[in-house]
Amino acid sequence: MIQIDITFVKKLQIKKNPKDFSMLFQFYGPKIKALMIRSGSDYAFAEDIMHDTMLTVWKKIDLYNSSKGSFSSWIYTIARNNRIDILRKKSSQPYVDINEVEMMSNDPDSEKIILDSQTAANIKKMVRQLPQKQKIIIEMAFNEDLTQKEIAEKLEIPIGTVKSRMRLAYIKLKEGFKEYQ
Amino acid sequence: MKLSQHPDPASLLSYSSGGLSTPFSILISAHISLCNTCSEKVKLYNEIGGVLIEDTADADLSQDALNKFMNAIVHESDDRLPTDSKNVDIQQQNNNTEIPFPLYKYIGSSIEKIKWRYLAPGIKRVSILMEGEKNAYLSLLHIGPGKKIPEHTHTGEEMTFVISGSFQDKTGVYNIGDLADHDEEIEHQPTVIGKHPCVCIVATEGPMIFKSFFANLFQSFYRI
Repeated sequence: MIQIDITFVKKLQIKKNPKDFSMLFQFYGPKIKALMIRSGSDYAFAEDIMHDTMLTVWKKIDLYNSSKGSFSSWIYTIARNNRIDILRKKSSQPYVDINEVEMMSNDPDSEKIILDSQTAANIKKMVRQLPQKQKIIIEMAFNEDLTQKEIAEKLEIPIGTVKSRMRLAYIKLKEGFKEYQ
Repeated sequence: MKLSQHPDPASLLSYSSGGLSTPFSILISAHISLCNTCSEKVKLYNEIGGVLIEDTADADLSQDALNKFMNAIVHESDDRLPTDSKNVDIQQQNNNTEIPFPLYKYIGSSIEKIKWRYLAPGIKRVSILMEGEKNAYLSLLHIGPGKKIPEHTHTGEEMTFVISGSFQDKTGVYNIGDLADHDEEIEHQPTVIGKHPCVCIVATEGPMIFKSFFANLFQSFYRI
């Protein structure tokens, strides 16, 4: 099994070697497709998004900046934006997302967040440790791509409760993240 | 830029997870482009997405998926920064304007160039067409000094991002770059403060519901 770490990513940034990208594809491709299927996409659509995402990674790899976030979170935002683009747009107004721009930019004022395997493990731990009611909402938002309204309907709770649980989850995650920094 | 009014963390989470409609996402993007505090919050949420990818069990890919990808990248020119030069260009162009980068493509580079339509005395508006959006709307408002929007509530969420000038309502004072994030429960009467007009961009999920009969009558004609 290939190890996708910052050294490997930096190697790709220095030289866009197709063979190395095939390894990246084999690591992330099946995961992106699975994530899209879990968000409600059918198999063919999920694979199209995966393909577009990996092509974007190939084209933009030079612009990934590890001080702005982890490589996996960068790939996540690209996959999410591709999905939004295809689902909502198919028009002359593609989704413009500052996340992607921000993470590629080189703003010296930003705090550094480098996601190594330890930090990733800590974030997983923090999400797992959230109270069940908050964890369900976070999982529904990220795993199933649901809006606040859809989460409220699914759980049969007021939308205000969804929001307050999201806020509480943020406070807990932020505290936990600081602790691990 | 030091901003004082920020989106609800719940809205930022929905933005990160892809659960906001495009008009609302655009306004959050505009705010984040000026606000390090909210940008950092979104980064934290994005890391959850990153962990989620790493944690996801693999799905089977079609047999020709890898070949298709390899063919695509081999046929790509090996130019450096092939697509993002566009983003960088837009950002660089935008450095000279008062419009934040995420709004630039929707409303152009300058407030002066906007072709306003009269809405009411002291109030002008432009509706921004959001293709593919059925339940969310984006409007640009130009409200004169001292003018008030009649007291109203909403049929859904409402976000307002200030491009120039200032306004206040019972939730606070909103200056350039600030974002008012209101749900349907709030009843408010935004009032422009200071000597200059307030230009703001508003995302809504439905029409405003005014307290006054005449304002509602007006609303039925003008669909604000």
